[in-house]
Amino acid sequence: MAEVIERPKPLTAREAARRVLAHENGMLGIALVALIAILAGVSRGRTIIRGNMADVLLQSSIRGVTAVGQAFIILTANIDLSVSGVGATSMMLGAAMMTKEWQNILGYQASPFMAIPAMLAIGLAWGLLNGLLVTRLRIPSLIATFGVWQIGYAAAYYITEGKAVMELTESFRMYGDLPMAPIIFFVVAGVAYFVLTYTRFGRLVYAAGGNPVSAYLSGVNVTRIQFITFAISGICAGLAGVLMCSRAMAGSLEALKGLELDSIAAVSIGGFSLFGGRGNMIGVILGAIIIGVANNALSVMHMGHGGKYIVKGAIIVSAVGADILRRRRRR
Amino acid sequence: MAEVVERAKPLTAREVVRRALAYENATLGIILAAIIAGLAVATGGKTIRINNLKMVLVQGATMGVAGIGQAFTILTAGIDLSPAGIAFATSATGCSMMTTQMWQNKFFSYPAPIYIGVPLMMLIGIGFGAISGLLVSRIGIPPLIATLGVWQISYGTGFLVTGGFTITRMVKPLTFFGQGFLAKQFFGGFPVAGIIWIVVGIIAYFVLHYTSYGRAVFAAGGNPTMAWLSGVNVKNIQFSVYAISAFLATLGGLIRTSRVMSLSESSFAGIELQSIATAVVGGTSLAGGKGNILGVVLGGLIIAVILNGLTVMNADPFTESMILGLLIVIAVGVDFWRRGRR
Repeated sequence: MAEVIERPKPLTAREAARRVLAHENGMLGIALVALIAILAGVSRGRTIIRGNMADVLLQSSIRGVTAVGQAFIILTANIDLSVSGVGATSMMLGAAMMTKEWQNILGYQASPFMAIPAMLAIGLAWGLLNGLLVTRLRIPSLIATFGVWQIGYAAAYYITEGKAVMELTESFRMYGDLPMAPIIFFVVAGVAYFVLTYTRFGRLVYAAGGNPVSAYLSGVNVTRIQFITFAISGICAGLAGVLMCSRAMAGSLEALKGLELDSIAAVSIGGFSLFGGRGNMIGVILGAIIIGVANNALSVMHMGHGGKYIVKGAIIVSAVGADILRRRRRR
Repeated sequence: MAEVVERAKPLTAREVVRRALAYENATLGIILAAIIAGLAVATGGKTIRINNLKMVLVQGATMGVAGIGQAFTILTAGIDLSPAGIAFATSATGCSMMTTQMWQNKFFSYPAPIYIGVPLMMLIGIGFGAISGLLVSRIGIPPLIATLGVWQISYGTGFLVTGGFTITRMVKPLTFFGQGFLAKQFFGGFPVAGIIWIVVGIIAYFVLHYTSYGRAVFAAGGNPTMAWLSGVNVKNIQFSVYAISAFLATLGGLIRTSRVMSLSESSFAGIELQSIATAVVGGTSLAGGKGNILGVVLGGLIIAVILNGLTVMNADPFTESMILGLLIVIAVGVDFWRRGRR
């Protein structure tokens, strides 16, 4: 008999294209490019100018870090609605610590090195509260995080009752030397990707989400995994607060509005199943950018007041719908 | 052997209390009574006045009606995030049709009477609900995402109609829904909004608990596979509940719009969460298949009474939303605890 030799397929352009399309999120990347192209055409090139693209990347990054945290939560079939309240609390806390104005709760102007860990810590604290409510009290995550969302928003309001301005966060300059926000976003997403794909914890997360009963019977402490994912999401929300605070150089309650829905939408567009167990970080990055592009659509396109929401809704529905139809056909 | 005789338990007071507590909505009733009593004490009796009680019914009607619609979707293990957008879009269209300020009337060249405007509003609402229903039942998009998308789309459509402006000065008869009173000779009249809420509740109760459609809804939510095997068209059920929810959201929007006689994009902010809260506090299980309409009405009353009490005590909006959040967490926790004990 002839010998069977396995030879790797030569890397032609055709082969490269095939591998991209076969990848789980390959179509998503193409959809993103197509979306940008369509919007560029419709807006007569206004969406493509350098300043606008930088802005889209910036906003996507700030909101995208919450999507990374949300991804962990959705992987375990939970949901985290509290991110905008947690982020708002974090942002207001930072503003209250670093402000020159009379609203400073510390009595003196703190440096970013003090304020930023505090902001992350409070994000973590809210995340731990979520984790406790869901794992100890067994309250469904939809309800528990909704409650924490409301409480978080109220807490943010009580910190300064409004806006605080004039702080110093020069270490996070947005334009100029390096755009810190996108870098942080990609680093965080990269770390998350590494953790999910190459560490034991990551595999446990997939297991806990995909089939919690089997995971439990295999010795996986499912509740502890869920608890940790809420903590992760809390830190990510706090980080989003940090980034938003430095971007706006102020603390405001409106800035992170809609964050929870955007992060869920970004994760869904990224191919995650809301029942858990399926999805990877590249999808989250692409999903976050798509949401950022959708959010950006009106400001540049003068579509009239309602256009932005219609476009955003249509994008979310078509992206998720296309993904679902694609999965169905594959089976 | 001794004969086994089944004798009914004697009706002592203890037995009456036991049966009452075992009733599914007993906890809700007790909580409602406790809250009313507590608030009455806290506000020095202000909340018990007849006028205030009527206000509670009127203020609670919007989210109560929307909550009943939401209950239908939650019963099928789905959810509806779109009430805010649908209420905005339909009320915007309706107001635009029925306003006397002709530059805002994008549909007719004269302000339409309410018997044309209101049915058209309802039809548009059902249309949006149909979109949600199709996305969920035919394409299989998770309800969270589908209704999120429809929320955005309907919200944007509302914007297209209002152009960012606030619509005011609608035709006078529109005030009937939110501000009208019936039977003025009894206690100064019952608010129409409250009557609408109660009537919707009664109809929904009847449909859900006494018709085969209602049983099909419970089946489709509790165990879709078994329901399908039993001959229930699960896809059609799923489609219909979103249409119902949208219709009731439109109705709730109509009540609120009619009450304030103006409409802007922030008029309905938060109504989706209020409706979910109403349904969940009312004992509707988010996993689907479990719940009842009386509970949803009681849940709406509880929330309305609390919000009304907070307003009477001059609380700021953030305290209100925080209390609402706490309340939902507690309500669900209690519900889970009760189920666990059984």
